[in-house]
Amino acid sequence: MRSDAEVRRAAETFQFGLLRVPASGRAGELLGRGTGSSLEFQEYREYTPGDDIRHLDWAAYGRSDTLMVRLYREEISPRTEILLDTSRSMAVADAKPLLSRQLAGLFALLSAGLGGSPAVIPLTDQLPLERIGLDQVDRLEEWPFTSRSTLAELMADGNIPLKPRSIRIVISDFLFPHDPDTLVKQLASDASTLWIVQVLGAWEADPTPLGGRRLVDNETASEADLLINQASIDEYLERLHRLQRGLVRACRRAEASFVTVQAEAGLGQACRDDLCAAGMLRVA
Amino acid sequence: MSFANPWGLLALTALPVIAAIHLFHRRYPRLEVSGLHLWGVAQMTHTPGRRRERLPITASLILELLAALVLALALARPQIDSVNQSVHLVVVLDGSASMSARRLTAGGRVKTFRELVIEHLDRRLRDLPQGSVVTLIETGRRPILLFGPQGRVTEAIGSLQEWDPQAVGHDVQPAWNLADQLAGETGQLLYLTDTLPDPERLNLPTGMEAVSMGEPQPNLAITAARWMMPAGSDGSADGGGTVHLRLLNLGRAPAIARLTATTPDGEGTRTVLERSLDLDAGAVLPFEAAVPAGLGQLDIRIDSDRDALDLDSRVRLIEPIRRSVRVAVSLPAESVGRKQVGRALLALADWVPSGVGDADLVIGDTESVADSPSDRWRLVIGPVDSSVAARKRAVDLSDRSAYVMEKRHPLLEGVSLGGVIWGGVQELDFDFTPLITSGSRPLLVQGLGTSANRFVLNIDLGRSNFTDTPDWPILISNLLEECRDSRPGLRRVNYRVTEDVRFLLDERAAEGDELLRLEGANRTRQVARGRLVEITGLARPGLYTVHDDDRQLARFAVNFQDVDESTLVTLVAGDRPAVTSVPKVGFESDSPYTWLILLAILTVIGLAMGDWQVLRPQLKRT
Repeated sequence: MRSDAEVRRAAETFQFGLLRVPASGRAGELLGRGTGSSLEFQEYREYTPGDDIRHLDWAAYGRSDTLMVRLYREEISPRTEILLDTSRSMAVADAKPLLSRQLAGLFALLSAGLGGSPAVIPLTDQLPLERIGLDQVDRLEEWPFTSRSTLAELMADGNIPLKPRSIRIVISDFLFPHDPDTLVKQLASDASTLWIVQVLGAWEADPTPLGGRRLVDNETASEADLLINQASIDEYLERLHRLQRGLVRACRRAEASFVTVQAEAGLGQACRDDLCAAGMLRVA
Repeated sequence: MSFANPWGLLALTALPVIAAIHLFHRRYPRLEVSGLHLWGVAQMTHTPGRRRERLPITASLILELLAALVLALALARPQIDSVNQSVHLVVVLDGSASMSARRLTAGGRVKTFRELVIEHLDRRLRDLPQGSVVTLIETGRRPILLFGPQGRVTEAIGSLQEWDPQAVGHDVQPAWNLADQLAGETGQLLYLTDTLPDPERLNLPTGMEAVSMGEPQPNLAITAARWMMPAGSDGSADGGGTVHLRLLNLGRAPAIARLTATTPDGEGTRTVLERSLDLDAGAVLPFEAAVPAGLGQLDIRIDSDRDALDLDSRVRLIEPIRRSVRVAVSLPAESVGRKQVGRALLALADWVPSGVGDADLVIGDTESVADSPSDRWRLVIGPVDSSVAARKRAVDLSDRSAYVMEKRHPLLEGVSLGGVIWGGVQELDFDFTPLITSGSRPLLVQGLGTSANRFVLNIDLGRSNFTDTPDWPILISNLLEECRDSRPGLRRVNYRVTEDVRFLLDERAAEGDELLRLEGANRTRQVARGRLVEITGLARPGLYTVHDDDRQLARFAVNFQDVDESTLVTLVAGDRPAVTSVPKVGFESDSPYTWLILLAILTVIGLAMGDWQVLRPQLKRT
């Protein structure tokens, strides 16, 4: 993906919008959400046995006879895990896998630019799931989107090797049956930051009447004959919006971010209009 | 299972067509989506595993397939397994009169062999597999198809209600041959009779089972019956007649029989004769009784408790019709010929003297006969030329002369000419057919060119001893009988079964175009009209009449007289199984290629379905 001009251009244009959100990770250039050993003072608290006595504020002890410990904000290098949904549903339109690959690559490059160690985890049927580092991120260009396993199934089965206190970015269409609260809770568990990027095709986000069609779910192979008219579209959109609202609500509860991007809009517009608006990126 | 019309199975090809129609008809274009559940589709078909187009199983599809299947089967007319195992039973029923005999030796209700055979047949038919068919043939002079061919088993017994075996002795082989032909290779043959056939004497079909229900029975029979008028009767009704009977006890014990002769009398009958007769075992009893004239008809029967067969115990006789011949002798009064002719005629019966104009037969010299009507029978007795010169030229043959006779001519039946000296043989100057010749000399000739028979006896009786030999009255008698037979009407009125009946019609009746009608024995049949009417094949005893429209032309009686059929003591019960068994494949009611056709159709359908189920999805995936 590093050879993708759009990705390189986006990486030069945008950077992570992490500063407003504490994160955890190894010592590095970003401030973590917890206390650490950086020079940025965060707050006082009472001394408890086991605290580092080098952080005792003796002046405060002198004023109040209370042992107070200076807490400093932790400086971390972000550990970024990018979960890329490579199921068949992501390949229903050509733009979806393209934008998904570009986003995964972009997030990996931005993470690496901050000194982090990004890992892209394509969600496939082959277990254990493979972790792709920055040096191999170009493999995503040829990565097939043929998996039948959904994100929800993999999470429920504990098949995704997530590391604690990592920045988790999930790229998927989320068009599979799931409970948003449960799924987001699992994704956010032990993560320093969770970003959810829903990638939809243009027709998925805004379908138009087509008449009679045999709808084939490209993951489950289920079929159904349906007359796609405005009425059925309205019902579809109502269900889609209900799903998105569920994800938004679940992300809010988990202090995660959710954004929907339209694949056909392209990487630049998606970063500029959607991801920046969601605070996941900011202009460098 | 088999199919009567296997080509109807071609309709099965409609099944994949219907399936294809349902598979492709009104099928929406495919549209791959990522979240089918979001479309809220009520009907959703899950197809895990290999992806393939599945035929929507709808009520419409099922009903259409069932309709096509039923239609195909209806066209093919399937025969269920039981039908395939069914048989075609061809039964030959013995139609001889002995089958009508009662089983006197059995206890309980006395049944005839006919009834026993029907009961046996009923049992056999009940044991046949469902769907079997049966053919019934009766033996006789000509085999008769009583039921069928290949009729329903349930109707076979009912068809025998009117069956009344009365045939005299006959050859059963034609009936067997007919049965063999009808049975073909798969039919079963059964011969039901009252005595087992002798396989060494008769060519019993190897596949035929013979079952005899007969048992030895005593029997009395009238084996001959004749009603005669006395010789010399002049034809009046006062003369009366004589009934001659021959009675036979065909049992193994003496029997007492009661003989009764009745005649119709208005609405009822009148007993004419009644006798009690004792008959020893195997004895023949000639019986003769005088009966008055004018009875017209006599019904004679004998009754005995040792008489198993009624058919041969009764006869119906019709009073003979006197057929007197009017004879005119026109020879010179004092001639030798007139004296000798008169002497011969005196010994003969049923003739009356007549004038030349009214005579049926004219016997005279050349001149007198020439004056008689040309349609009469005539006998010219020589010398043909009575002139002195001709008489001198006439030749006398010696008793050693060799005579050549037309033996087949009825006029010469019984004539031998042994020791005859033929004298006064003259040359004949007219066309003739020689009946007796000696060398080149014609002695008795039949003239040509006349409508009736004109015979010329080229002889001078005064120079011959012909009238002194037995041949002379025989010749005159033959001439008289031939003349009598040439008259219209029946020669006899009482016949035996199967005896041919011949009679002449008068010219007026013979000229009609329509067929004559023969009525008798409860049936009517048509008879060819002609100068000579021949009625053959009368197998049923009874009273027969011949009609020309409304006019009755003849009336005669036919009686059963057959000693062989009356002999019941030789009947044998038993069962002779068929030598060769018939393969149990049932009768062939359809093409032998039924299963090949069905297999081919199913193969084609299978291949089509296989291509649709397997190959097409693979092609799509590729």
